[in-house]
Amino acid sequence: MTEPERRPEPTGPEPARPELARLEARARAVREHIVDMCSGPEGGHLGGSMSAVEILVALFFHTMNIDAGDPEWKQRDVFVLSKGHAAMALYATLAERGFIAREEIATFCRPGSRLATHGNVAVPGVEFATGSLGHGLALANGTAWAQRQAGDSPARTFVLLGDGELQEGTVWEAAQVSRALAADNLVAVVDVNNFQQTGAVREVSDGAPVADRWAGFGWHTVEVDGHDLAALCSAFDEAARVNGPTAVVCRTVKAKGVGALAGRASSHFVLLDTERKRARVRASMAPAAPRATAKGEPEHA
Amino acid sequence: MLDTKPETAKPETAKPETAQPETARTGPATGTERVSTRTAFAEALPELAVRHNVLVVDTDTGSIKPTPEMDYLNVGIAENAAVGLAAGAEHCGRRALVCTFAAFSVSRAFEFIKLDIAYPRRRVCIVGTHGGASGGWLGPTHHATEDLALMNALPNMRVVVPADAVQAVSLLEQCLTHDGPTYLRLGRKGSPVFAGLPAPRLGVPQQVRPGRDIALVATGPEILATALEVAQGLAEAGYSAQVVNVHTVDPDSAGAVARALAPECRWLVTLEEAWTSGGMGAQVAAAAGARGIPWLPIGVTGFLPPDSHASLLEAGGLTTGSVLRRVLDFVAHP
Repeated sequence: MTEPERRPEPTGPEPARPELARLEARARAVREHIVDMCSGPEGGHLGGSMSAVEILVALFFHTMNIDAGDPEWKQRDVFVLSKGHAAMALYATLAERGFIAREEIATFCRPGSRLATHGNVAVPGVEFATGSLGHGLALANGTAWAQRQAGDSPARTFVLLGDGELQEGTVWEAAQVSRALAADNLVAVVDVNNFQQTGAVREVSDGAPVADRWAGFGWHTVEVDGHDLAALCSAFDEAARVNGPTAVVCRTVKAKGVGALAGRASSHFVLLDTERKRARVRASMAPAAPRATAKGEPEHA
Repeated sequence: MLDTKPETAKPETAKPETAQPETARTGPATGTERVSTRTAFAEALPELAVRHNVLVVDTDTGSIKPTPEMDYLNVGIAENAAVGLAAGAEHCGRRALVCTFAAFSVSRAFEFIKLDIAYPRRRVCIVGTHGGASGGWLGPTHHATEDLALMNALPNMRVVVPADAVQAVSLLEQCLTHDGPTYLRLGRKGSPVFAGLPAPRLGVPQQVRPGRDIALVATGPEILATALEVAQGLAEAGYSAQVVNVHTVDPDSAGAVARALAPECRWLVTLEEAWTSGGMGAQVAAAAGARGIPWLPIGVTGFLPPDSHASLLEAGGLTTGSVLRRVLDFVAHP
């Protein structure tokens, strides 16, 4: 097998300063789209979408080898949104990346739209119908295995999980299989925003530290600030160099970038159905993305 | 559409009224040889998997002897992960088969099968061994009497129960080349092999004995053997009984079964080694409902205790004497 054609040309492990500025601008645009979708008729999972924005931007604009003009390109890197309720973040990223038109964002959950609350495979770039938690890693084991059949320099699979989702036992069933299959081209990205639907993850079910769990399952484990684009790009690059599967554990802030809601369980699902609510949310959005603290504490608690 | 002719595939337009071969007057003979559908599957799989480029995902069943030519992954005792992996590989263009105990794939991994296999119509075959009560002494943890109803509930899913080891190989290959999801239910130990049974075609029911008054619609090896013996008993009691082998039991096949019922049919009896709610009989009865034929569903009642497969069938009223008595009572007091 020859090396698959790389498109777009990779920009290297660490994005240079001008590229970082471009990525940050993409992240701001993605957040704007998410607020627009929450202003639609159904509302949406704002908190868990906002916490994953930098992860998605780093993957779709820096790391992944994909082609917006050919979403099913056989040699593409595959992205699996295991935390399917963050579909708004994925749709917004796909719109910015050119998989769908930006204008389509306005159709979110409106009659006839393909942009549904959870990942809809009718949308180019959405690989699987996710939303039932605990499926993505098992699916990713299969895509990563199939990619490895293609040759010595296989495409990669990235799967994004939530920290609440780790309560699903099927995650760990699949994690064991990933290691057993020596899935070098598999990266699990965990969005540790510390909250799930009804409250803090540690209050609902106080599991062992997330990174310890992945390391205990034999995964190469990296911890990063999940809003630090340079650190994310670097971690994804490191994953390509190590043997076996890599977990990138991302400390994030739920509803990151929306000061009025950040770090609150109530941000899990938000319907901005009045002009007053929309104005309040927009007024609280930071012009540039601030960083999470080392402990992943919300910066606007 | 109905298959009646032994050993030769017929065109799609074939009618059930075509001339019956001599053997079909009384149905295929049940030989003394007993071969497990699971064994037949295991012996045929390596060659078929290679021929059709199918990834084989095993859940440590011990049923499969992989060859170096096969793409074979034993993911361990992990049915959800196995189904998910197969779905992911299929998403990247690779057909897959998942080998499981029926009791542990169909109900435990049901949601993975529903969302990751049936919904996207993936070309994945879920194989469930130890179907029905064939787990025997392994006990109720290993019995699978819910599988037909659960798989029948899924749109896009073809639900396949071979009548014997010969059909198992043919239907396995058809599952591996089918353009969509399939569930292949197999037994555990030796089961009857029928001489002169027509070559099966996925989705096409088989009339294996013609008859007028009573339709005995049967699924699975032991049950088909029972149905053929019951038909003989009914003949001796003065009733002409038709026997139909339903090796594809899902709603998509039920219409063909309904159309295969004799025009004179006055009583419908369905027989299956499964809970009857949502099973094969329920699909056939629903499809035949417009004809208003009185229907007697015969299947497994309640949870079964640990016992030999044969004893469970006997105690469960699925053997010839019990079924014959129930059918005669049914036609006397429908």
